Amino acid sequence: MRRYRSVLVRFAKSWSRLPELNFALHRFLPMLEGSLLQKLVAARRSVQRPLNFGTYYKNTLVALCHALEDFVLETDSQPLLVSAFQQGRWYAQEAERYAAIADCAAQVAVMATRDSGFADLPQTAHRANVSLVSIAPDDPLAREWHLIILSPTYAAMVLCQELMPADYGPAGEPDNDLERKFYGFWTFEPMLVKVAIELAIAHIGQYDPKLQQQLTTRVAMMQTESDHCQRDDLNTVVMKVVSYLQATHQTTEALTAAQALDDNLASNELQAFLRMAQLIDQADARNPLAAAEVAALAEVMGQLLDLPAWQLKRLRLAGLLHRLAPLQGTTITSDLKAQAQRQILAQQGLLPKTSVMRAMPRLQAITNIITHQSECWDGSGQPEGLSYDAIPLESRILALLAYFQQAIAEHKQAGNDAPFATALAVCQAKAGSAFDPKLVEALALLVMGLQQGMSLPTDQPKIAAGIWLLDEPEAVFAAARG
Amino acid sequence: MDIAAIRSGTHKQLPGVDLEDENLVQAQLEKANLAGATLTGSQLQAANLRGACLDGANCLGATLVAADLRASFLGTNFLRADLSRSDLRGSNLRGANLMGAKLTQATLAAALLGGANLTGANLQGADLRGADLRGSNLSSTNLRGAILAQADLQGANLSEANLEEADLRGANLAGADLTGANLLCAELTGVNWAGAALDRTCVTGTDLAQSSARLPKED
Repeated sequence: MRRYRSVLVRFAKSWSRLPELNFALHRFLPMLEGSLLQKLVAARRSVQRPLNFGTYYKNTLVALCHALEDFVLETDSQPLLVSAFQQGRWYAQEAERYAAIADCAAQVAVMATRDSGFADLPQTAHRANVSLVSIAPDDPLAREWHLIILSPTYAAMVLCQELMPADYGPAGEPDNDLERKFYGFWTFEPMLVKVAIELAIAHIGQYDPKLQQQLTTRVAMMQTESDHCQRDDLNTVVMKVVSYLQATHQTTEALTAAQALDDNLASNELQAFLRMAQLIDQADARNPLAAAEVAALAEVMGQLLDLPAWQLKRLRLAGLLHRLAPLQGTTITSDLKAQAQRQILAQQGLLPKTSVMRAMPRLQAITNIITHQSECWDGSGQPEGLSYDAIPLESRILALLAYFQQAIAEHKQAGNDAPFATALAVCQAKAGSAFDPKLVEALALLVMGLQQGMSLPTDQPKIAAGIWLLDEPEAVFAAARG
Repeated sequence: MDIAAIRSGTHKQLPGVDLEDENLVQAQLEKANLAGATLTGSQLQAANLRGACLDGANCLGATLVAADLRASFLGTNFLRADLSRSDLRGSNLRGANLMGAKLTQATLAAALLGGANLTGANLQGADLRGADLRGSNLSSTNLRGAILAQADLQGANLSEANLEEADLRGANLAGADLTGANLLCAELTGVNWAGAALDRTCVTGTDLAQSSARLPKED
């Protein structure tokens, strides 16, 4: 007991912000009390899935928010946009953009502390659908950076909190504004966005009850509307995010922490893809763990085949992203002649999605693996009709394991007692035609292990730290020569 | 000495050999015996050292980028060596000196690093899943975004270490020294904290919801 207490006392000491020592550790959340981030975490205390917090430089956040905001200009439905800008002067820099956004949005609410004529900026002062809420300087939200966008077809948000001066460590706060650090997360998950926007609206109610009423009505209206309309294609949004982040790379060169800022940008580009994969998985009620399980299987299989570490890492990432390719089980995208057909497929997000990944050159190897996962061993597959060893090894592994995992999920759902054996039998039947026979043999070994109780580490990846998954170009070069 | 023969893997029995500043890029040294060898400043990019023995060797300032190092390195000196993106899965690095070494994006899953000295090393984005780091010295190391899930860090010295965004799920930090460490946005589910020193530890943005799981019960 004494040791336990001493840990807690040390914890409490390390958080000067903590009002009192509380023995339930789960209440020791070090986030700013009363902040939106803290409220959101508290609201979904019972949900197991982690929120994937990360740290972000201001540099990254600006690019990210611009991308998410600019998509508002492209979407057909009129979104509701709630943002928090810390200080009024930051909003002043964006007022021009917000004027354009206001033309396409149903309503915009901006929170910031009152300074430098925040409320009477000419660009947005007299617009009926833009409301500026001056928050008190001691409001916890004055340290937060939010962008919450909700429409019946599109949902996105960035929810961050600036580091306290003490959190920067011995080096202290950075001199350059773009190197300021925030922590929090961003997401496309509609459910999370809805919870956050409700919390934000409730907070606005402290300052402007009338506006709260208005916004609440809007959210309720959107809820009913969203039940019967097609959601916007995420590919376009993700593409936008990646290209905006890529464009920011050039601006970091002159800064002192250039490498760290660059890594932060690259990590977020990858996060955009991982979050999209996560949404695809969540939408599939029959097989919601496909990405994590295929990635874990691929890694074990790679180890069985004694692949080097760089190849395993690549396999793992390809496994996590393998569902971003819509080519599985469908050939409709191969030969499109009619413009109208192309348009409709594009709207439904059925055009080859790996093209999205081309936006990020560092993912080229992964794109290649995913593109060829629909090839068949005997050459009857798509997209290039490659056969035998001409198909990249990782693609062959991925094809087999994605099929195997899907079969297990189906058999489990059907209440089959021996899902592994049945799924393996299905794969064995296709050995030599669809799948590489040597790999099917290796899979049989793996299944034996699974039946004997070997467990796969199917932890959801920590999306926020995506950087470790990325190959560096020289590594690929070195490995290719080796 | 015939460097070409060593590179191509003809000679494998090389205990105590002097290979200072040699070019051994992509050398085939599988299962070679290099115990006590001098490899200071040598170039070993993408070399294959699988199953080799480098116990007590001196690799000061050597470049081992993307090399296959699934080998034995008992007490080897890697001071300021570049081991980034190398494959060290399951390697034995007990008592090795890795001060100031570069290990970014290296794979160290299940490696044995008990008693190793990693002071000031750069392990950003390294994969240390299930590694044995008991009693190792990780003070001031950069472990940003590293995967330390299920790693055993019992009694390790992590003072002033940067563990920002690291994945520490299920890690054992019993008795570890985390004074002044940065755990910003780290994943801490299922961590065992018993007796860990946490003065000035920065834990902002972490979700500690289930990290008390293995704390000793109140008596």
